Amino acid sequence: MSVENGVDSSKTRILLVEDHASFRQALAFMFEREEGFSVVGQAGSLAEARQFLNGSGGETDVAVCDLALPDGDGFDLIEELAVNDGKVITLVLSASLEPARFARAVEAGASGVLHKAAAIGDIVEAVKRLRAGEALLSPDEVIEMLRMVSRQRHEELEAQKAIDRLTRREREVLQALGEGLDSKDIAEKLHITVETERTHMVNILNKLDVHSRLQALVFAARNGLVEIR
Amino acid sequence: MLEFLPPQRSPAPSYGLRGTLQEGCAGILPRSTEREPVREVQLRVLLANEPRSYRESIAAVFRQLRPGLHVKVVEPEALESNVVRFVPDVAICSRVTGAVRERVPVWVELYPEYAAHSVASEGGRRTEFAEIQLLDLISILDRAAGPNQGDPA
Repeated sequence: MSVENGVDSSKTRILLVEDHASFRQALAFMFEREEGFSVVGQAGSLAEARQFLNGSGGETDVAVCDLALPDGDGFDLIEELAVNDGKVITLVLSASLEPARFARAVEAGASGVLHKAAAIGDIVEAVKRLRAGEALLSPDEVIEMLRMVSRQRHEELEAQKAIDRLTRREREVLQALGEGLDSKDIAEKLHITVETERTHMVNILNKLDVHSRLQALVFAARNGLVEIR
Repeated sequence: MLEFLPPQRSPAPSYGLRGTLQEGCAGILPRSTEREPVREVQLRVLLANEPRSYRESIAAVFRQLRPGLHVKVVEPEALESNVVRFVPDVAICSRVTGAVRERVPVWVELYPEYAAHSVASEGGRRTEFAEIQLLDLISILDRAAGPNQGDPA
């Protein structure tokens, strides 16, 4: 057994990146009680994780990362771990139920993804398996996740193109629609005739490739074009 | 461990809570593994918070560091029924309910809707935590156990 900086180097050295401190500390406690594990760092934010990795973080074997951190998504950190220091295995532990987020984590370089609804024993077991070189995801699952990310990215690109085609006036009409106004009220608010409002709306529907005011509103809300109060 | 025990109350719980905490880079570790004598009447702690990994890991820490506690872990949907059946002295949940407010002397609303903050109520005295620590939870248990029962460190 060799000991470096107080840590037995034969142990799996774990970095925990999780903003909910009481859970992070309890998880650290659990790993410390497992034979063969040592928690070498705990971070509550991306900044803390980067600070750790720029310091003594070179001694990390496995990073257990949340995705929703106070200073941003964990995707960038996963990419950094994968690109800059490929020997760090990343297990994502997320409260998100969106498969697309898990897929993005895999694309960024995560070796495994688990929902926080997993049993604590499953989390410990997942780290053991990854450290032993086992895959948590089958090749088919990885391919499906990467396809999902590709599809999502294509949809986002198309949506952005559509948004870019809207004029400032058309965006104002959409915002008014988001405020719950009908044609007459939108026309009044923007000091235009109802016919002009309808012309704007027809153009909006064409540009967004949707068929109704409701669909336009959903598109606008989903893409952050309008704020619904 | 989901066994049901009939409620037992004592005006003066008489068990020792001598486990201590040591905060460091590696987290919180027990300073001593010495087991305390089993008390006759245990402080009853109910964990029904979300998600499962949170309640299981926190419960595991409670059991290790405070072996005199009777810790029960249930799904959030079973919170109210267990408030009635288990009669906890302390409840930890993600969304405090009317039954918890009315019947549980000490409760913690831990990360409601996955927010960063938490709220604790100890005998009606509310405390808001911007970033609650594991040590805060242990301290709440120690205070619920009564004077002279907490961490001697």
